[in-house]
Amino acid sequence: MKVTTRVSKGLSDRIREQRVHGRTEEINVIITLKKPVESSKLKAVGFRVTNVSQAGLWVAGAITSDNLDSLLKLPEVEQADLDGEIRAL
Amino acid sequence: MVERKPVIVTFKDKADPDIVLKSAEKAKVRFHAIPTLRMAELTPDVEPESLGIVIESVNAVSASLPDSAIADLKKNTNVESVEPDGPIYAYEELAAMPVLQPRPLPPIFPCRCGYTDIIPWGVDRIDAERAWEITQGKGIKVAVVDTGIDYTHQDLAPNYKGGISFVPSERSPMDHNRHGTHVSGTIAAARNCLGVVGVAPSAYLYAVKVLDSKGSGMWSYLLAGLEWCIRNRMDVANMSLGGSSAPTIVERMCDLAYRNNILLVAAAGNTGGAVGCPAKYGSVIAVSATTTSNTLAAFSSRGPEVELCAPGDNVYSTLPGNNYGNLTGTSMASPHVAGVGALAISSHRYAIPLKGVEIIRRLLCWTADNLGLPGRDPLYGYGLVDAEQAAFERTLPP
Repeated sequence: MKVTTRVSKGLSDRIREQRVHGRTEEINVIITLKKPVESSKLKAVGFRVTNVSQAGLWVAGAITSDNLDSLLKLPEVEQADLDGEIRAL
Repeated sequence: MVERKPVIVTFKDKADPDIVLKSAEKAKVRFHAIPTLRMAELTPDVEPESLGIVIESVNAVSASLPDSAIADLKKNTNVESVEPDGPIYAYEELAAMPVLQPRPLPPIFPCRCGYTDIIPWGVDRIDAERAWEITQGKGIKVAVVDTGIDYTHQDLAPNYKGGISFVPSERSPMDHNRHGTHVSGTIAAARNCLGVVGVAPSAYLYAVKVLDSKGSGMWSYLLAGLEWCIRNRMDVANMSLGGSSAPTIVERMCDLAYRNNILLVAAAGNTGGAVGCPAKYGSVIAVSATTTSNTLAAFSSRGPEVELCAPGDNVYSTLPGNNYGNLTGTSMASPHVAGVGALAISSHRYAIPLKGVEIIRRLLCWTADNLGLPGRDPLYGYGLVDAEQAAFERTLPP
């Protein structure tokens, strides 16, 4: 059995939902980094950066599910999570 | 049609997830592995709601299953747990209510100009005004991680020291909602003979906007906000916000902020159910909400993560445009604790370089007025936060 150590359940669910409904729009994700990554490398795999950790810990942005595979292959990437909503309580 | 429930099935180490296929066979569920996110082709005869996803990294699957299949799985010795799955939840605070019997400052703080500050019931209940005899939190930096602050408000302007927005559509830290302004007033509305007075009326306020004018934001905004708090050496960060689940990096960032001696305080949630994120993290003080009768508010989330409780029902505080009003929610309870945190840090500054901000956290718990069961309980935590005791206590907890 192959191991997918780097994709959260929330993100998996979102991709499944997209495929079921035949949608291809971008998904907002947060990438946890093992080490800082150059933004050009992220752009090259179709990742549209919206927010960057000053400390090089994470990057937020949008990407299509088709391009996510390429993003996860980058050696700097540790994990991909869905960037979900928070609200005032 | 058989009713299905969304669940996550986790297997014990080295268990074979294929057993789920047998257990769920009669439910006609098909599971699709997604190694490196390359999802199997969906077959047209499979209903969307019966699809399952194999989460191979943790030996788990998620699926919608009927009760019979769930019962079978629970009996299986290879299965560690079968847990309900669900979406992120969030609740807005209730609408502004009429003013509730505010009372003027007590005689120990005579006002020479002839006007008075109102002490909201929550500030009074936690005995903040008694703590002001020793400290008002001057110079303690409190980040209000929220919808921004109306920094022109007459009660907030004296203590507002700066801010930033991480909401892409709103570049200013100005509050276009009202939530952050209300929270800020509870923490540090100034003692200026106008309007209300906050728990730590001389603490410095910093607006860290991560929620937009509708009270909504993204986890990535919160990450950026917490990082800003670390870089700018905040002493306290109040997070009257949340959701039911978060990316793992959020917990790591909270831990990092706590290790950098930022006292993290968060609202437990308004669902009446389990404590949400980020309140449930170990590095964050989860605050439940109490009423004027010192009982847990019905809406307040509860659970083992609750560490302290504070007034959260009909709390009177600042609103944008030099206005004032009452809001209800655990969002209103959390800033009471954040304010006491500022007072305690102010009166025990010497202890933090030696023992870290953890000593302040333990002090708040140690000096709380016990409510509910003796000791810590899931409704009130260690009890109602007590500003006077936290500020005056000379013996630090072990």
